[in-house]
Amino acid sequence: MVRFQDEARADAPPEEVWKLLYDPTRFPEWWVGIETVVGDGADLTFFPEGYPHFPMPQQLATRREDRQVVVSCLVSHLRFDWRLEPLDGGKATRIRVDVQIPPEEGHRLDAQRAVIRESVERLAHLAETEA
Amino acid sequence: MLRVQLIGEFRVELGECPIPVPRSRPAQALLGWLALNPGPHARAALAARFWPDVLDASARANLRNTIWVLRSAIAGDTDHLVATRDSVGFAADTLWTDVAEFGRLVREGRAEAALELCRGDLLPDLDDDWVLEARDQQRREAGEVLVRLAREAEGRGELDRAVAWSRRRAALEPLSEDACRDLMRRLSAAGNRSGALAAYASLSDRLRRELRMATSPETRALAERIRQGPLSEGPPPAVGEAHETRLCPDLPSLVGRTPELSVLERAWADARAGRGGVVVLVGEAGIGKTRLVAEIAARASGNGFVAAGAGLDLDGAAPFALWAELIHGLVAVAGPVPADTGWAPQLALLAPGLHAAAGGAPAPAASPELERARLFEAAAAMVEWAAARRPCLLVMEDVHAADPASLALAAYVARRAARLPLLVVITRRDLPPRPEVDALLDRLRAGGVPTREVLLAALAPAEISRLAESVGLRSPAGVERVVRVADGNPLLAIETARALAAGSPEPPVTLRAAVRATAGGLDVDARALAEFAAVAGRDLEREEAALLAVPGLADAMVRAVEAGLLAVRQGRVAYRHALLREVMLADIAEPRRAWLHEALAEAIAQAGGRRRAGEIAGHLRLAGRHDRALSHLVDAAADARAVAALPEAAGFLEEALLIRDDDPEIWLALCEVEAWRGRHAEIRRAFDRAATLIGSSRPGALVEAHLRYARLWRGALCEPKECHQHYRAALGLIDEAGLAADAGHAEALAGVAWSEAVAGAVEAAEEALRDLHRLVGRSRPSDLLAHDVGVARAHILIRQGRFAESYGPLIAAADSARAAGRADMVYGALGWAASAAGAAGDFDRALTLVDRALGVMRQAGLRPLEALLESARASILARLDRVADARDGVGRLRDLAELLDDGRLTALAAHDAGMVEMTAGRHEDAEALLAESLARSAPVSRPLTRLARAEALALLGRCEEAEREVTETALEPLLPSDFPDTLVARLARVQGLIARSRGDRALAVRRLQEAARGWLRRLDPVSMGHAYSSALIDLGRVPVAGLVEPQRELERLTVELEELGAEVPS
Repeated sequence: MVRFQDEARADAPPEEVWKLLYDPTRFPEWWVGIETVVGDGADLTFFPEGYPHFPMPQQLATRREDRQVVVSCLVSHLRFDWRLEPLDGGKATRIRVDVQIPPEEGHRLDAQRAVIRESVERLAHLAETEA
Repeated sequence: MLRVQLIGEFRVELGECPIPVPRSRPAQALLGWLALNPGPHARAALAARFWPDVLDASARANLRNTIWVLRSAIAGDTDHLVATRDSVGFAADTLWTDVAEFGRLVREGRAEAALELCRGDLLPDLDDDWVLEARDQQRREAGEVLVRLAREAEGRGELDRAVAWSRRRAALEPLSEDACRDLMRRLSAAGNRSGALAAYASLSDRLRRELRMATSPETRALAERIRQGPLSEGPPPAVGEAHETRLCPDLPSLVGRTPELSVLERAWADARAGRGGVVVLVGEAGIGKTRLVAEIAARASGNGFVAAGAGLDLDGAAPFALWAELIHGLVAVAGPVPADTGWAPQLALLAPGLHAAAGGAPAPAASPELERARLFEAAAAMVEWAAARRPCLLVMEDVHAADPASLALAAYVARRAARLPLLVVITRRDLPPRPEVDALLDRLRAGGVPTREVLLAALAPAEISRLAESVGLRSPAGVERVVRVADGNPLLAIETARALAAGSPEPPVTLRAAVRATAGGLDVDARALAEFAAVAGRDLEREEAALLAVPGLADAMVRAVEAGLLAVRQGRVAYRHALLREVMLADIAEPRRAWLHEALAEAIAQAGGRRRAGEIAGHLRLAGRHDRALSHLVDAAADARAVAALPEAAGFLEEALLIRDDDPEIWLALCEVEAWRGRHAEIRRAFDRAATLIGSSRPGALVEAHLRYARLWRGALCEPKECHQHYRAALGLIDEAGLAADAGHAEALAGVAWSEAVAGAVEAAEEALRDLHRLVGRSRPSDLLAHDVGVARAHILIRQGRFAESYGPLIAAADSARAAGRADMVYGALGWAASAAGAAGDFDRALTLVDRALGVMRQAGLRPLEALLESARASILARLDRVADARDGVGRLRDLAELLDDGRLTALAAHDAGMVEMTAGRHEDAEALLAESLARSAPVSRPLTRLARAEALALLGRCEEAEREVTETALEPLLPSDFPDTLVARLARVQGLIARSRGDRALAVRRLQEAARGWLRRLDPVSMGHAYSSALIDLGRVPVAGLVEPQRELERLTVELEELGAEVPS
């Protein structure tokens, strides 16, 4: 398993980031490469940009023990663990993401690094705008 | 000093001068009562007590006049009779009464001096109820003193004195057969057979004349034996027969301990007045805890029920051993058990024999958690039943050695003491520490139960001297040596004094030496009996003793009792003190000890004692006979499991596996117990081991193992995925091996249907139901199978959002569960039906269904489930805007939480109350209650609760606090049962309310519109069906309280947006 972490600071309270993270219909606004999302709740399907007929079913879960939002791709088995940490007394938020890539998808490491770098920054920026 | 003589002639003296007793009867009565109860008393209470049938004002006027009469009688005295505007009473420090003096002398061991004060009846010229009660009490106390004096005299061989004391007791209690039998026995022993028979004739005549009764068979048999010749010597009567408890019969005099006894007496008096409590006696072994308990028990038995049980330091003792003894004891004195009682069959699990007495059938099994709740409630109900008849004293001895289950039940029952005529007296050694006992006491104190701890210190040298003299040691030099050796320990003092009195030249320097000296004087049979009683670790039942390899058992028993080692209590053979047993045990060497253990195991097994399997196994293991212990360990685990003692059950099974680890049945039994304990890793480990041992060559057994395993994940733990895997595995094995269709096959298909439906795989679930239909055909399914099918069908419908159609199959499933005797399953099915009705918007029907479920739970005694249904009911009532009824429901939930001592339910009640107050628009109350529920970790959705509180704060204009709560919501860990996909819309609405409260219209509109858009996406009922299914799994209860109503939310947002003059998204 290949994994990497990334993080960004949002000058917005955790709840603003949280609303974006828990509303998959808004993923296309900040998650690079996702054009549309179908479904709600736990079972989602992503459609990548430029591939409207290539469904990528996802599972969204939360982990009670360490307060993480986990998005797992059921096709590629990529897994994204998102975690929010309040900063400055709750006025800002540190967004952390841990990405796990199975060995057979290892060749996607560099591309995913770039995607996630940009996505986490976009998420932070969007939350600041919404605040 | 004011001296008032109440026994015999009523006399009053002030200083040394007699003063006339007032002539008026009310004044005499008031004087007598105040003298018996010194200290100030509220005038209102006195007026009501003495003039209950007149108006308050008249009663108070009568009291004033009577006090004036009293004052006049004692020469206007104001020092002794202290009267204020509100109270009146005699000052305790300047009052002497013969009744109090009697008690003091008895406590100091001056029994004969105490009896000199008894010159007749107490207040013979008065006949008020309280006088009759006090007179009876005084007579009983005098009678107890006479019993003791007679026994002591008899023990010393002074038969004439024994007869004299017995005569006096018989005169004091002329209708007491017990007193008459003692007199007859002693007269006969003294050679006066004609006197004995005359006493009998006189008693018969009195009983016939005054009560129109014949003498009892026991008394008639004694008379017949006396007629036939002099009585042969037999063992002394057991104290259990006298006091109906397990306490020691031949009690040494109580020396010292006046303050400690006062604490106990006060606590007993409080208990009798309905203000019960707990007294803990703490001290080293042999310091006198047992003796003190015996004293209060003897006193309490005159005006209450007394029962006792002891913690057992015994390898393999059954869980709740202390309570088994207590239950037997309490029922024996308070019985007969009413035929229609619900608790007796339940308690029969602990105390076999009770079931037969009650004549009912044991309740059907539910989950161990519910079984335990029902068992605990049954024990509490039994104590309440007894306490309603007479005040109760429950003695729990040696709790430092009690099993954890007994301690948990003690905490549960004792919590009710504060509002019952119930005193619980606990004895414990101070070392080694036992944190569970400390936790029990802390819990009682926290629960508001008056809990007093009394530390028993060493006795003073003068007290030790008196104790030594009381057991017949006369020589001053000997007494001095006892004082030196005993070092303040009364048990050591008595044993040393006994040894010296018996002719030992030197005092034994340790208790062990004293016991060794005593045991050394026993013959072979008596010693063998003492050894068996030592290795037994508990009192031996009569039937067990009879099966021991002890020739001449009766004689051996008499000699061991006479030597002071053993006692006979309620027909059981026991050590006079636990410490003597421990010392004796330490003195038995191997291989003798191993032989004793094995012989004892055989005797216990032959006696057929129920709930003794663990003990038998323990003795066999101590004897090195591990092979023979195996089956008993498995039986012991089943017994423990039957009373929900899961750690103990697991312990027995693990012990069995140490002996033999290749029996898959033991592994599967362990698997089940671990499932109820919620220990996932252990469950899987046990199952894997069992499956490996069964092997693929026995597919039928493997199918059964998978089904058993799947049931665990559907009952003890709710893990549909795990169930699904094993139901599928069972089906795969059936197909592969071509096994014949049977009940297991049907169960597996029904299980697959259920787990697929819950997981949302509707088509797969329907396919499994079709397969099942083909398999079962037209034959009538079993009740449990019918339940499973109904629940599976309903889940399919719920998953499809067809709520209104789903509660029909659920109601049918509930009926099948009820027919199968599974009230816990009725709860699940009817609860789900209520949820489905709520989701369909039919709240009246939801209420009816919850009420129906409540009726079943109440009948089954499943209080924890009753509480959850009360919670659901309150939510429905609030939803119907029936706020007052909802508040009543929350009140009942609170009462149940209090009754069950369940902090989580208390927190749930706070949550429900908060939500009801939200509905009522009382936002201040609502936010405080919701904050309380969050702080106490209520079993509810924390994010939803936080948002509800944030809403209340926003509506109160407390915007900063509301914002903090919103931030905390985002940081709460989420589960599917929190409906995470609806939280974004909810959170946005609260943000809108905060902005509105701040006057920021633009932001308010933006947030409220954001919320409305979120709810618009949620109008699909199918997605709600998915979410509801998750709630049962996460919260373990039906989501009536957390129903999501997107349409209603939208309507509310519409109103809020229109008030701001903004558009509503569409």
